[in-house]
Amino acid sequence: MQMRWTNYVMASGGELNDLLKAHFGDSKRMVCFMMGRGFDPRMNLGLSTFLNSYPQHTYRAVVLEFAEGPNSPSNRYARLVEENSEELFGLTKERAEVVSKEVTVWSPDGRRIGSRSAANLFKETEELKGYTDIIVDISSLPRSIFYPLLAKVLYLTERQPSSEKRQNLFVVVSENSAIDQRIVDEGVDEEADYVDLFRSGADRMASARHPKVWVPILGEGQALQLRRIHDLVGPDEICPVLPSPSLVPRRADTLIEEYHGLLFDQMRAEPQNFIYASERNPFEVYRQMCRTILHYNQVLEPLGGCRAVISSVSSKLLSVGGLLAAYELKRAKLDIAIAHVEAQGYSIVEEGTIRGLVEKSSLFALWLAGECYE
Amino acid sequence: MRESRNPFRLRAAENIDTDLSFLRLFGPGMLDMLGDEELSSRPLIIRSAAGGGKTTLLRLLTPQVLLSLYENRGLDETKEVFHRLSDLGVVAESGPKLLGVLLPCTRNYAVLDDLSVDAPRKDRLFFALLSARISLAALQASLELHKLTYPRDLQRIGIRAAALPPTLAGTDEVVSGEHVQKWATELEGVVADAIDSFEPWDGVLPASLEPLTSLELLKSGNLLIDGEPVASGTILMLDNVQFLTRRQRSNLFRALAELRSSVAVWLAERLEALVTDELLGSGTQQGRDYEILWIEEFWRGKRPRFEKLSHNIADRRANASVEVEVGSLSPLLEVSLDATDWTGRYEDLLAGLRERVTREIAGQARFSEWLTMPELTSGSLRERVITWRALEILIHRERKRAQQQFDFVLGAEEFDERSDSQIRTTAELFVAQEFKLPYYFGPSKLVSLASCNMEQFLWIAGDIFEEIVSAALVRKPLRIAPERQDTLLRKASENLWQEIPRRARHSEKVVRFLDSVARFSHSMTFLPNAPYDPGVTGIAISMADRGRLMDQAYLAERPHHAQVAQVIGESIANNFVEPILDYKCKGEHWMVLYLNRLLCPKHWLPLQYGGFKEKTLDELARWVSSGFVAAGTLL
Repeated sequence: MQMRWTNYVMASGGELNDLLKAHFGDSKRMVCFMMGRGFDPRMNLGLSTFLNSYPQHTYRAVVLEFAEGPNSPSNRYARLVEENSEELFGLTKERAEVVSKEVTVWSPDGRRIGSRSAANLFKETEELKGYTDIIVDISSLPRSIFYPLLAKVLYLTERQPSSEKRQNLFVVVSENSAIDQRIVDEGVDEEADYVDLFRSGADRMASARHPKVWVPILGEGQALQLRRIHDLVGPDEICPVLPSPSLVPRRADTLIEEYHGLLFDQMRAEPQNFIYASERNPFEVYRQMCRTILHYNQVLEPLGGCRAVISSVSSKLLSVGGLLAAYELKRAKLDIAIAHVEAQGYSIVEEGTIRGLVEKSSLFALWLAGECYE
Repeated sequence: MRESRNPFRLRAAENIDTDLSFLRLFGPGMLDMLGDEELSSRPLIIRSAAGGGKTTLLRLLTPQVLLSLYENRGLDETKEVFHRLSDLGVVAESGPKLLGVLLPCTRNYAVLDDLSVDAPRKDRLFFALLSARISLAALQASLELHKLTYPRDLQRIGIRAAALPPTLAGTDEVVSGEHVQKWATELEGVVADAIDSFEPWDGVLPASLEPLTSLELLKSGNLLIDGEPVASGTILMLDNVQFLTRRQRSNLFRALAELRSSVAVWLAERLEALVTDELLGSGTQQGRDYEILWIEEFWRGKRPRFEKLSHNIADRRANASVEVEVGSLSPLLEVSLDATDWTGRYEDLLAGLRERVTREIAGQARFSEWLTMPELTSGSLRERVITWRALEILIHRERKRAQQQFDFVLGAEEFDERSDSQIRTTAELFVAQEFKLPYYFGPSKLVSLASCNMEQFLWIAGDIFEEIVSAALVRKPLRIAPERQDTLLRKASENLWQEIPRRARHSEKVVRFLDSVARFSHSMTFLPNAPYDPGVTGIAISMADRGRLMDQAYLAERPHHAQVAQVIGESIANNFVEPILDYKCKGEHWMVLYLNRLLCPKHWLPLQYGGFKEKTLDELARWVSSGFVAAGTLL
């Protein structure tokens, strides 16, 4: 299998400014900027970077609104959402058209359907026609939403008629571990589930006897989530992905220490199965995951191959790597799924000071499709 | 076996990795639920809250477990299960007789209802997926039962053509397993593509597919291995039916009822799958189309048997630990506060109580003889403290009655007449609560706290066993003192209260309702004259009001009562309350809602049943919206 993102374009910091200048600096562009409305103080960071640096283009901001219902614990942060909304209003006034799209989180009979709802936000290539660039900012989108959304948009941009100029698809994310640590899952669901568009690969009765390989990307403080996902997947082999190299050189060791009992005593993970990937490079995660799963598939061919399940309980940046691997392997007709567990809502530790941490965020941009790959 | 350090932590049946380990931990008493007769062909719906034991029961009947049972039928731990399953016709001295086909329902079925296709196509996709999976699961189970390998040995399976859809049957009388497997795999693939498709689905399903086509395949004599029937009987077990949407679930039930197949079909689901009407009506739905087994309700009617089963399972789990050699859990739980460690404390309490009661009735001739009764000076220190506290309760009762009666001197006869075991139990609780003594300890209370839910029992027993394992590690005595048991069980109670918001929908209202019931029960229990001994642990609504809560037209006009219906439904679904229907009291019929016993320790409530107070729907609506306010605290 030819890996599409063997060569890739990704930038942050000063390199990001150069990249954006080279791409957005001259010709007139029509930009669709997708983002979520929420309480995360990083919500407007990506959009403001583009609007302030390259105001000459035509922008349409597609803002995803989450209908979480009156019982969501997140409702207590309505004030923060309001502040973000006011900031968005000021930012886009006379500079960008704002379109809201609702993501329905619960079905009338009480099932989670946010992931399906996100996958259905865009159904046809026609809906994205006319844009030269599509930017998906995942900073304030939960994984269960941006996984299917990003996969669908990636698919639709690929389906654009070849006669037209290739659309560019970027993912931007504001990384800030201090803010990530302050936003805590509240009320983790009793059962994990598969993410829409990546469900069936692990669930087919026809391949029920094929060994199941689970590749979770590990992050701190997620033991309960890992246990729930493990219960859903029921893997035969576990290949945890650890962040190494990392800004904190001992981070991978600390993670092993944190999950020692869970990984070795309860889940029976084998130490030689660990995968290491740079904590700031999702394309490396993508490459490592693809290699691992393809290798298992090849080795287990006499048994009919394997079923692979990808999960991420780590940063959003690395999570994108997992999605890219799942997308590519699905397109190559492998049995692949993404498992995830949702929380009923989120709580913020020391809510009053979280906005002050935004300045320390680093904006990353990943160029997934378009001109640079032609 | 995984995590054998504390085998109580192996909760879900699917997490016990070897079949023999599963059998060793299986309590034969679980089979009480199946009765004594051979398995009926009427669909059986098995319901319980999470952890009731549904999957455990289903797993027992799968081919690999039955084969393991047969091979190990001589072992002490498996002997009884083998005999009981022989009586049910599941196994025999020649081997397993039953083909158990277990098919867990996953959430992927529910996704079919969210596809952008019309309802009839959704239904066809649902039944197509179910048919494909039943066929594949049946083929796999058949080979397992005969120790053959899937898919290698599929050619040894034959299916009578009459049992298959016409397009699949062809002209031969018997169709090969390979052929059916290919058909089912393709059919499953079509539906899987619909689920995961990036584009709106416009695939095609086979035209001749009827709902539950593949159930025919499971009929006796239709599945053959080397030309012989695979088994004498077949049972299809659909687990986790709660993951289906309500529409899919009712379509499935309807299809099964209409089909009236001779194949035994069991459907296991959590109570959370039920709508409010069904939850409030649970226990009365024994329809002619299917039977219903509500596990918690079954055990509520047979509490001594549940206690025996729990102890049996606890002993099996304790035995399985590699860390500590323990034959049985119960002897390690101290059951009395009569040990010498408590002597000093009880001496102080006795002196204090004696002084208080004497002061209370000073100068009242009516009670003077009671102070000289020999019961007050005989028995252990603890017994004497309880007798003094019982006396105090009786004095309060007599004072209430005195307003209507003459002031006769009460003798020892009157005391004996008025005091019974209930009042002593109440006095024990009052003493424990007032002086903060251990109350929740001993094997019997441990089982009571399970509220007839096996997972809840294993959860709290696991906490106690963890203590035993730790004691063994540091070479301390293994017996757990009452105060430590009390601490652990109270912590478990606290944990369950904290879990309510995570488990229940409309959690804020559910918490407010349960908290109101608990605080109200506390206020009624600890009245000085203890009028509801041994205490109140629940509320009741009239059966007529229950009927109103199930009447949509009534609720549409009274949204505050609709909230009550919703909250009670959620509480039942999550096993936070134990409902008893048609309870006769004061010439009326009531639906009693007892608190889950594990919710009681936080509020110092007793674990016995029987004490409840009647409530109107308006009172409950107030509790749901603003919580219970104790009398006298309104200002």
